[in-house]
Amino acid sequence: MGRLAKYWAFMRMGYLTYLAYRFQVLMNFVSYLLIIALNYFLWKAVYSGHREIAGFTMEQMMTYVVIGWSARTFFANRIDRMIGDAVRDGSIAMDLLKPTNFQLYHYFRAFGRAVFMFLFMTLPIIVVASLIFPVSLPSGKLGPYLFPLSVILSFFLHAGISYLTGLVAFFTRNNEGVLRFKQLLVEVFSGVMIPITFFPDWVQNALFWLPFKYIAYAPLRIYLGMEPLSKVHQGVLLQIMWIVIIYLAGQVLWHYAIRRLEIQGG
Amino acid sequence: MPSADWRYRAGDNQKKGHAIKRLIFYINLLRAYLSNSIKSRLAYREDFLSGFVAGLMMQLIGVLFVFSLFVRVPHLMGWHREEIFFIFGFSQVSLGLFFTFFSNLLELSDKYIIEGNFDRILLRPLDSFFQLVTERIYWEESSTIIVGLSMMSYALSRLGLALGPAEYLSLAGLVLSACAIYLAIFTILVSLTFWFNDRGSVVSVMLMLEGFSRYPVTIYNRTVRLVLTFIIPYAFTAFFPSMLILGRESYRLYVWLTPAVAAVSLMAALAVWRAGTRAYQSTGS
Repeated sequence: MGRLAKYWAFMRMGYLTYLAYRFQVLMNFVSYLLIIALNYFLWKAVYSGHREIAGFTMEQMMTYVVIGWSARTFFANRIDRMIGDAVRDGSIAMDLLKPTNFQLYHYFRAFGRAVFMFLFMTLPIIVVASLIFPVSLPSGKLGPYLFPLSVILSFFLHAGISYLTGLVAFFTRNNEGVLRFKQLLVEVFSGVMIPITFFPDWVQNALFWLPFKYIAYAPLRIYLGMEPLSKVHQGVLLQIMWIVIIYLAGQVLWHYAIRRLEIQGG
Repeated sequence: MPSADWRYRAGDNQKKGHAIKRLIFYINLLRAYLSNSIKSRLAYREDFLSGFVAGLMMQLIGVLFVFSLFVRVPHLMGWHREEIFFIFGFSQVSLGLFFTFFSNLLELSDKYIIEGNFDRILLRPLDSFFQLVTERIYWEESSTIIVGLSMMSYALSRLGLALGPAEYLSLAGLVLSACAIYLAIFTILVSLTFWFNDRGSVVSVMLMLEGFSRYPVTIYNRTVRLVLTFIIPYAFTAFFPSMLILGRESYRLYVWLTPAVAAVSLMAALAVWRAGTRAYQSTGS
């Protein structure tokens, strides 16, 4: 019970931090609508003269774009940057004093932010965007039920990837390149920008062995009802598998990272 | 005391307004600032490299997106894949120039107004806009220029277009005009922080909107096209000037309107900036 209360407090902290930035959140909301609008026009032009491209019809693609970018507001996190900043300015010393699992502390703090984003970004964007652009409801038997679960799993999967990336700050001061490289991998290969069926076959085969496509592509396929039942279960199980693998990798890497830490000043 | 003498001359020049003398003075100053900036950047080579690689990664996101999109779809409403790459590259070159030489503008609200550094700038007998811009050059942002140039030259070679010296020269002029348009748009935006306390999130919205300039404006609906042409002239930062090379007859006029749009918007921007500095009230301490 005490343990749970601790992580509940971290979540609340992550949530409350963002209440202070209402104007930024509003502007962020506008930015996301602009991205969705640009994608709408682009895909509409792309589909002029095509019924189906890379396995997606135009209707499916429009829904993919709106739901994909909206879901991104929920599963995005700043864990990698927060760890980097804390190592650089030394405030990591305070984090280490907390009698808690550093990795779970970051997961739950970020989850508090995600809850905030869900209420004030994801939902409003879906509502406003579906008034402007053609968006269909989740289809298939399981879409409506398993999609929310799958996106929550996406959050923890992405949180794990960010955590691993964040730990790089313990090994090098100049971690900006690494952070951006992770961002590149996630943006491109999660499928949030473009379904991975657009990539050449060898890229798609390689992505089967990597966690990225389970962040956005897999949940969106569930939403669109494009997967048979067995594949849906398999996708969710693979998400869980990757969450566990990355969590354990984070524990191992932490063990080495903490020995490298030197706090300057004091 | 050389510094006192120097300061006297700067103030003198501004008062008397010998335009040419003042220009030469600022050019010399710019040379000194640039060489200083290069030296200080070379002192932290690792930071530069890290920033450069980071910028390259961000660029690659966009590039990988259009490449994987157009592998499947070689045409976009009458535009050939390579033509789109050219427009995309053009927008990145002009945007990259803006980021490299004028990024410091975007720091106005946080680093200058809120932290109070703007007072320091106003105390010096030099033009405040010039000082703000030259105080830091972001050499690492040249990654954007390099990616843009690569895309343009790839597109040109795939299209089988060989350009003559006159075309290269015009292209360079158009790129500079496009960069000036970015400069004008963002100068007006950041100037608003002299009146409104905003911390620059409007700028991020404008950077998002910049994404619209990477594609032919014909893919948008009428309203968006009108906005991009007449209100926030992003269409002039890549699409219209690219028509010089991609040669669609109907856009001939717009190509040569680009420098004019740049000049007018830059003058408007400097006027807004001046009004802003007059309205500026220090945060105090």
